[in-house]
Amino acid sequence: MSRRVGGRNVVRRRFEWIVLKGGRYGTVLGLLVLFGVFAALKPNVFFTGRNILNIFNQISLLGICAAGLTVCLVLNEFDLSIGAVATLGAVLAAGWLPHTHPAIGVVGVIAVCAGIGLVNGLIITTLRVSSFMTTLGTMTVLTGFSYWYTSGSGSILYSGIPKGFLQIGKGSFLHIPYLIFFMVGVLVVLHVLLNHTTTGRRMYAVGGSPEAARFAGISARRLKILGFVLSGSLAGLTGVLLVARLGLAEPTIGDRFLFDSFTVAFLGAASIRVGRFHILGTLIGTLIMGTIFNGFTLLDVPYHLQLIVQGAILIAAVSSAGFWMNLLQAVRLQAAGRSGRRGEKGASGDV
Amino acid sequence: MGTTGPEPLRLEMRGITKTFPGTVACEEIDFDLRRGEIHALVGQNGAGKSTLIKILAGIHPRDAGEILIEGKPVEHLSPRIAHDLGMRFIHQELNLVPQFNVAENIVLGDPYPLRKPTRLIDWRGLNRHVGGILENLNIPIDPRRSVQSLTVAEQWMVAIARALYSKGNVLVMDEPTSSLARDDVRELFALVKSLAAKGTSIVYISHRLEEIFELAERVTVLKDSRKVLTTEVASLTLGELVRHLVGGRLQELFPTIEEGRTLGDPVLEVSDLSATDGRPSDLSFVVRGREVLGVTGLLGAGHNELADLLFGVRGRVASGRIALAGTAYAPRNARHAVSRGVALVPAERRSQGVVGEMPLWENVILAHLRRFLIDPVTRIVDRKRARRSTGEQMKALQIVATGPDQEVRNLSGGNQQKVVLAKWLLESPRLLILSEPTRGIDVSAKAEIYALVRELADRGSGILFISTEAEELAGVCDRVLVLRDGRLVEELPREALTAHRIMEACYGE
Repeated sequence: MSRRVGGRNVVRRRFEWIVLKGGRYGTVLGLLVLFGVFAALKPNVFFTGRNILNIFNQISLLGICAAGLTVCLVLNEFDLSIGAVATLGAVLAAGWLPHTHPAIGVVGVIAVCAGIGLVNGLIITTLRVSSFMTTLGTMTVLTGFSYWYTSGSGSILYSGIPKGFLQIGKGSFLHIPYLIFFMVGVLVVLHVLLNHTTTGRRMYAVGGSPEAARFAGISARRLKILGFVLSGSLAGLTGVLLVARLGLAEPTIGDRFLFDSFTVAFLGAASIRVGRFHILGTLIGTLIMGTIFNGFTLLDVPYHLQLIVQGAILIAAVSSAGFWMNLLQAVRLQAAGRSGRRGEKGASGDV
Repeated sequence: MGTTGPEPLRLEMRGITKTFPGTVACEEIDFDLRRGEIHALVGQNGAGKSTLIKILAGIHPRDAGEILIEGKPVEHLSPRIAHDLGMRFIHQELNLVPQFNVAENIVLGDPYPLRKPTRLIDWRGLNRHVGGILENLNIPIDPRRSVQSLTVAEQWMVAIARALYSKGNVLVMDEPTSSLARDDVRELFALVKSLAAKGTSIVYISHRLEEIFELAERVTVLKDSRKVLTTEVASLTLGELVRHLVGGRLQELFPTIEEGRTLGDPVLEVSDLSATDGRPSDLSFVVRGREVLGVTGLLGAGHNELADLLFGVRGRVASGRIALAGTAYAPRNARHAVSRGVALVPAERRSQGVVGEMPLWENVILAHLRRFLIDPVTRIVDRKRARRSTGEQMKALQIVATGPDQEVRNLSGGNQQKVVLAKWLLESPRLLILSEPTRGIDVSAKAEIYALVRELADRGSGILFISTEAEELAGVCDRVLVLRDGRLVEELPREALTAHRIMEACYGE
């Protein structure tokens, strides 16, 4: 054991540590930097309790929708219909609430959206169509339906929505808007579901290594159906809460939630547990989106520039996670080569 | 385990037959397994081992034959039913969930311990529980470690622990030691033996024959889809086992190699070549024109990796020099390799060799599209000419198909392989690398491919024939290099080339 080798090892381990943490906490660091920049540029407006609550309020619906999508992504499936389901939830809520008891209306709308998730799940698991194509199909069908449903009233539904219902979108408890409670509730429940229940762990197993799950006797079918039902219901809830916030519904109202949910979920997968979708990551991603949106609005940055920055951040975050991982692997490989250990894994088996 | 009276066998397979379009994979195979027995199953690639095991696992339905478990006939098998009957299969891929830690992988598919009022997972209880199980099995692994941080040997132990945790009583292990170091093998063997002593029955599949003598009680040899024999290991010697395994194949399978030919100039010169992952390490050799140089070793010895490395598609050169026809060559990517006159018949035919959904003619011209353009500006392919060339190749290589328009995926494995060869033979390559060229194809197609390889060599190309099958190396090559753990351990000249000799060199000693 020469001293030189020992010293080199320490350096290598430090470097590995930095690379590892860089990969894990890069997005969190990015979020803090964004916060710092905005706070420095607009100290009196941005970094105030009111504005922070405002950011949380603004992202609450996205958080709910993206959390549902996260469950599908954990299962290694795509749900492209969430935007259209959110729209459907909104137009149905705006259409039904004037005529029914609010509780029945809301539950009914979410049940319909859950049903759409069920149909998605059934098509994907029984007919073995890829989730990408299936949900692309349902997305188009639902968008068509929403246009048809609103066509009688000039595309916008707004009249007769009960005041009490609208209060959900505007009211607050202890200065905290109700919508934040909804988001926190959904995130906590899904976090516990995915991390602390058998169902959730099996979802990760199915998504992470379908073969291993199959050989362990886990039924992917039921879990996938459940995943799509959850993502459908939560997209529906998003739509309902949109109506509560905006007081109206029109057939493009939920579109943005598709792209935004994917953005934040992938930002999340580049955080902390890199390469895995998880609720905490999705929350971080959502916060990044919310902070950018809020900060840029305060700085009067035009919308088109916001979109450009948002897209660039997504690509940077996702590719940097990959970059860190490659770097780490390269460091480890080189170390393994130096100490004479062999890389693992043989070639594949025979016929 | 001492047995009193006629105890039912844990597993009995009788007259198992399975055909796939174009090939018979298993023909009338019998196999049985006693309680607490380690029974080795050996055979060369394509002998029918994998198919037999997949039938047992319920992945392939059998065409004929009976399966009895604990003396009771089982009509229908699915993966689920096989699992419920206590059968556990550990493949080389191991089927662990890479994102999970050891504890979660072990309970995968079984109930997690839950905390009383909340019904949430009791992580501490899980770790304690799994820790206890690992301790009982004498496996010194912390249940909280991520499986990705484990060595391959440790991953095998985790996979075994999982099989036992889920109450498996028949354990089928496919090539567990192919990527293990010797010390790890010893540990794994100790575990396997202790399981057998406790009553678990084990089917042990391995290419490393000497292990069988160390571990197994009985051995069953398969060859060409049939059972050759089942016998007590103690009644055999290694030499006898090799003889059963190789058998007396027809001599016509291999082309005659002209003695005393003059070889051409060096085509490929490799000196002190090492890959970044050590496969290969410090390898030096020369391939001359008109020469067929064989490279072999056990699974994972580095010979298959050498093919990808030289073609520039996988792995990276750490040190060493390569020269092609006298000028330096640094493999960058496939395009570069082709431009330097290197061709590769890859090991994974379906994914790397052919585009199954494309017709035959498109596959054949794929690497030389430029030759078939009507003009260089529009870059439109001259289909008539391409079909005509393909037709000529089909005739020359005796490809059996309905015509140049037949989709390649509908051809038999042997004919697909000939399509891959036809692709490169459009322009005689300077160096042809073949990696496991006869894997999973039938005997007559093998013979044709061997003849083609020799013919190409006679026309002046240098050929690197990489294979794990000793027999064909002995039949086709001028010289054979044997690798172990990435290093050259022996070079066998033509005079010394017998399947037996090659196998001995592969297994060491």
